[in-house]
Amino acid sequence: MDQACDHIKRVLGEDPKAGAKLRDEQSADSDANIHLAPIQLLPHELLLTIFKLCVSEDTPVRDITPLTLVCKIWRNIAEGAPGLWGQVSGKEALPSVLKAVAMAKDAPSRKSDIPIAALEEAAVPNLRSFRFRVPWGQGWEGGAEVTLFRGEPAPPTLKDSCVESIPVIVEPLNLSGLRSLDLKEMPIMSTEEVLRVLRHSPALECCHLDSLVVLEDFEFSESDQELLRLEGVQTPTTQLSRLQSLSICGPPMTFVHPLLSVIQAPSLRWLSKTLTIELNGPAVEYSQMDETLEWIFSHIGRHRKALPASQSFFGLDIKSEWLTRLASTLKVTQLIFRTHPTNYLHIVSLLSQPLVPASDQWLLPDLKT
Amino acid sequence: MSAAPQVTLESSDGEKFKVDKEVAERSVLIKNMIEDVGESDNPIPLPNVNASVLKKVLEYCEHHRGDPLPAADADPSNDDNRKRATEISDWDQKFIQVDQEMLFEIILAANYMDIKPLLDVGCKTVANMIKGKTPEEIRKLFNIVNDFTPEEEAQIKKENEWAEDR
Repeated sequence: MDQACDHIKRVLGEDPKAGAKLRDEQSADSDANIHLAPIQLLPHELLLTIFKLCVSEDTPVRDITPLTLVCKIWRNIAEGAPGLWGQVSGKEALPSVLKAVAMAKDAPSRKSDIPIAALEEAAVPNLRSFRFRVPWGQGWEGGAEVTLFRGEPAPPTLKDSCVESIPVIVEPLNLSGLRSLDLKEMPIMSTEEVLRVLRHSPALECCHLDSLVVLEDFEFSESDQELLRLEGVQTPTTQLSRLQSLSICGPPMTFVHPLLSVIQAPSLRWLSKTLTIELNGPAVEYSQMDETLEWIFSHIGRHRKALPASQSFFGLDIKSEWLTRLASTLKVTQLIFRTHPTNYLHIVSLLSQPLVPASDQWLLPDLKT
Repeated sequence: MSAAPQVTLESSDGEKFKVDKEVAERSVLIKNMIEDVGESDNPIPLPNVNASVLKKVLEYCEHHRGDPLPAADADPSNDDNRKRATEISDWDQKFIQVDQEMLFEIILAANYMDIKPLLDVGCKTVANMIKGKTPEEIRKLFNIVNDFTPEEEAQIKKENEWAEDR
C-alpha cells in the first residue's frame, strides 16, 4: 500500500509545496498581484490560453492590446507569445498592425488583408499572401508610388499576391517563391517591371495581368531583341515551367508582344487573352495581331492544341484568316467580340465556314461560347 | 447486476470521496494512475485539490460521465477548436457561476487533473469576463494591482495613444 501511494506520488510528480513554489516564482513579477488577485495564481500558460480565447476574428490585435496594459505579468505573457500576434485583420488600425508585425516576430502571418501602409513600413518575415485593392468606386488616395517592406525583398514565404489599382512597385520585391500573381489596373506598371517580375518568379503557377493602364502609352518601335535589350532583359527566354494559367486582359500589343516573346510555359493549361486594339490604322493593327498570335504559338509549349483558350477581340474588323489560324493552333473554347454591330453578321458567316471546303470540320469546333 | 466499480479519491485536506470509476476517469490523470497502479482499495491522493473544489469537479464529471472524451491533442486556443468551443452549454454556465476564487481553483484543478472539457469551460468563462473591457476595468474586475511605475505608465500611455481612439 505504501509502495502504491509512493508510486502514485511519483506518477503525480506532485509536491504539496508546488503551489507555494509557483506563487513564489510569480511573486518575482509582482508581489502585490499574487496576494490580491486569484487570477494571478493561474500558470502563465493558462493565462495565455485565456488570452487567445479573448481574441476575436474582426480585430484581434485591438483585443490583445488592453491585455498588455493591465499589469507587468500580463504584459510579459502577451508580448512573449509571438503566435498571439500572428493574426491581423483589415479592420485593424495601422498602429495595431505595426505592433502586431513587430510582436509576431517569426510567427506565421495567418491573414492576407494586412493594410498596405503596414507593409510599407515593416518587414513581415513569414507573410504568405497579400491582397491590396482600392474599395469599389474609390480612387487611390495614397502616394504616387508604394514601396513595400521598406524596399527590401519580399519574404520568401510569400506565395500569393494581388494588387489592384494601387501603384505598388512590384519589381524590387524579388518574388522567388510566388505561386500566383494578380495585377489589375496598376497605374504605373511598365513592361520592364512586369518582365523582371516574371523572370524572378520561376515558381509562378497562375498569372493574371489586367488593364495595366499606363502601358497603353508605351511605344513599340524597335525589333524584339532590341526592345528586350532596352528593357534590361539579357536572356530573352524566361522559363515558367510551372505556369498553368495565364490571363492577359486589355493590354496593348506593345505589351503583349515583348511579354510573350520572353516566356516559355510548357505546363500552361489555360490561356485567356483579351486584346484591345485602337483603330489607328488597319494595316498596322492586323500585322501586330498576326505577330502576337505567332508568338503565342511559339511559346506556350507543345500542348497548345489541347489548350482551352479564351480569345477576346475588341474594336477589330475580324478577318477569316485569323479564325482559321486560331482553329489550326489553339483549342478555342470561348470567343468574345466587341465590334461594330454591322460586323456581327460578318463574324457569324466567318464562323460558319468549314475549315476545309466540302468537309464537315467547322471552324473552331471546340467553341462553346 | 453487479455494482459499478468505484474508486476513492482523497483531497488535500484529507476528505475522501467514493465515486464510480467511470466518473473519476474523466480525469486523464486519475485514469493513468489507475492503469499504472492497478485496482486498489487505497484512496488516490489529490494533494493539490481541496475538498470543496474536488466536490465541485466531481459534480462536473458526474454530469458529463457519458460524454465522448476529447481528442488528446485538442487545443482550445487553436482557431478551429476555438470556433467549435465558443459556446458554453446551459448546464455548464450554471455550474461555473461561482465566486472568482472558486472559479480559478476549478481551473487549476481541471488543469492538474487533466480534465480538458472542464478546463475549457473555465478558461472560456474567464475570457468572456475579459472581452471588451479596458485595462482599468479588467484590473477592477479581478482585483489586479497596476504595478507599472509612473514612468512606465507614461511610456505605455504614449505608445498606445492610438488605442484610445478606437
